[in-house]
Order: sequence, then C-alpha cells, then structure tokens
Amino acid sequence: MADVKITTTTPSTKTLGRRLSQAERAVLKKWARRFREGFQNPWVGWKYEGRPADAPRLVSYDAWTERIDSTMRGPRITILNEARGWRSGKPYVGYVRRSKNSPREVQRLTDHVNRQLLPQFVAELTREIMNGLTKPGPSRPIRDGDTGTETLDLEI
Amino acid sequence: MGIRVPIRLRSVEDYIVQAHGSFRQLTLAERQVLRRWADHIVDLIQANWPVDTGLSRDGYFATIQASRRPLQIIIQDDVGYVQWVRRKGEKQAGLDFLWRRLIPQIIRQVSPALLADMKTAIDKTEAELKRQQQGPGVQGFLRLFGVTNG
Repeated sequence: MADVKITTTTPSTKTLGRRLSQAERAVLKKWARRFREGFQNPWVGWKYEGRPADAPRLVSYDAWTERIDSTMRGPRITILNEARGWRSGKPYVGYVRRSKNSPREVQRLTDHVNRQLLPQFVAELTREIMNGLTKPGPSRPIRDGDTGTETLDLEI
Repeated sequence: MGIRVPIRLRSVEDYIVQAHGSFRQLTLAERQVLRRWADHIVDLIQANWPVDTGLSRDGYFATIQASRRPLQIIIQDDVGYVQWVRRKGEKQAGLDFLWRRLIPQIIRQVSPALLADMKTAIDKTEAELKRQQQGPGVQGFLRLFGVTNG
C-alpha cells in the first residue's frame, strides 16, 4: 500500500471531551493547510525520466489533501495522498525517493513537519483552548451511517 | 458513501486552447492559483454548513485535476450521512438536499473571479513561453531592444 495517510492528534487536547469551538477549529484548519503545504510545496522537481512529453505531470503534487476532525473524537489533522500512477493506475507516493540512497520522500517530509510545524500547532491550539476554558462548548453525539456516494456534475 | 462534486473548468480549457493553440496541462503556478480557489470553495461551503453537524462540515475537502482533460476542481465529503444534512427547521422537499443547492450556488458566486485569476495566470505563462521560444540568442536579444531582422 503506497498511499499516504498521516494523522496527527494532540495528546494534550485528546481528552477534551467536547467539540472544538469556532476559534479553536479555525486554528485546526489553518494548521491542516500548513501541514498539507509542508508536504505539497516541496513535492516538485521530479525528473520524469522516460515519460513522454505530453504525459501527465505533477499528478501526485495535486493529490495532497488535508482533513480535519474538530468533533468530540478529539482534534485531528489527516494528510492524504492517493495519487495513482499515470500508466499503471497503482498507488506509489509512499515509495517515492529523490535518489536511490535517499530516504523515502514522505518520511523525510513527515520528519520535517513533525519537527518544525507540529510543536507550533500544538502550542497554538492549546493556547486557544486555554483561552476558551471559561466558555461552555456544545456536546453532540457523532452519527455514523453509510448511504452510498452521490454525484453532482457542475461546469463553469 | 458521501458526496462527490466534480466541477469541470471548461472555460479555462477553452482559454488555454485560445491562448496556447492547443490544450496543455496547467503549470505549477497555474495549479497553485487553482488550488487556492479550491480551498476557498471548501471554506465557503463549510462556512455555510449547519454547525450542528461538525463531522460532515469537517469532512469537506477538495482536489484538483490539472494534468489532463477535463480540468476539474473536485469537492468531496466522505461522511456517510452528509447528503441528508439540512438546516434546522428546513423541510426536505424531494431531492432538494442542502448540498445540491449550496455547492452550485457557491460555484456561481466564485466563478467570475476564479476564471479571471486563471486567465491572468495563463496569460503570464504564455508570455513566458513566448519569451523562452524567442530564446536568449542574438535575435531574442535584438528584439528586446526593438531591433527587427530585415
């Protein structure tokens, strides 16, 4: 499985027991985008050896996405990449390396994000939660149900 | 499970053909512009989504398809019940679900500015491509100074 799914939870806020407030959620969302950019922005400069000139480029660059969860399950950011090979149709992002001897690029970037961005995110979210401690937050149960995917095609 | 809304950017495709002479993939700079708009669309959907359903609101995300036709922004939400969400007090009338009304409304709202930004980015690329085709050789150098050959 070479799809990428990296989930970040924050130990200090995991047991919050309530949904995040609007201000706290804004922090979560802002950092989810920054985490995504932490993977996406450096995900360029590939060699594309042997690939025809008109074949797709930057497919895995486009495929970086972020998800957040601000519900009672605990604040969570998930970064995903489910790109498929332009010819094989198979997942590959988790295997990509800059050169034979270098580490997997995803691992290198995960280390970078964990070192550089994660502490800032945890600090900012904790600060925001501390600020809002006096305000009661709503508590809602999480519903779960799978009713199949619906599609709506639009055009501009 | 969930919903999937592919938004085909036919106007952008047509503009590329007009400016470039044929279809081409988006450049990195053009993709970054498109991605910002995809993020903005998600922000608008979430800002207008009922707050009571935190999980389905958080579940919205966007990807772009910029390497081949059709050029698309794809809005998705994998939360199982998202298509059934409606505003408090709002009665469900047939297939008139909130997401089916809200997303097209937001797309209509943002599309003029999105298209304008994309055209600007495409024009920039095409100008750069032309400059590169002229090359750094003598002819290109002379042209920069308004000197034409012959």
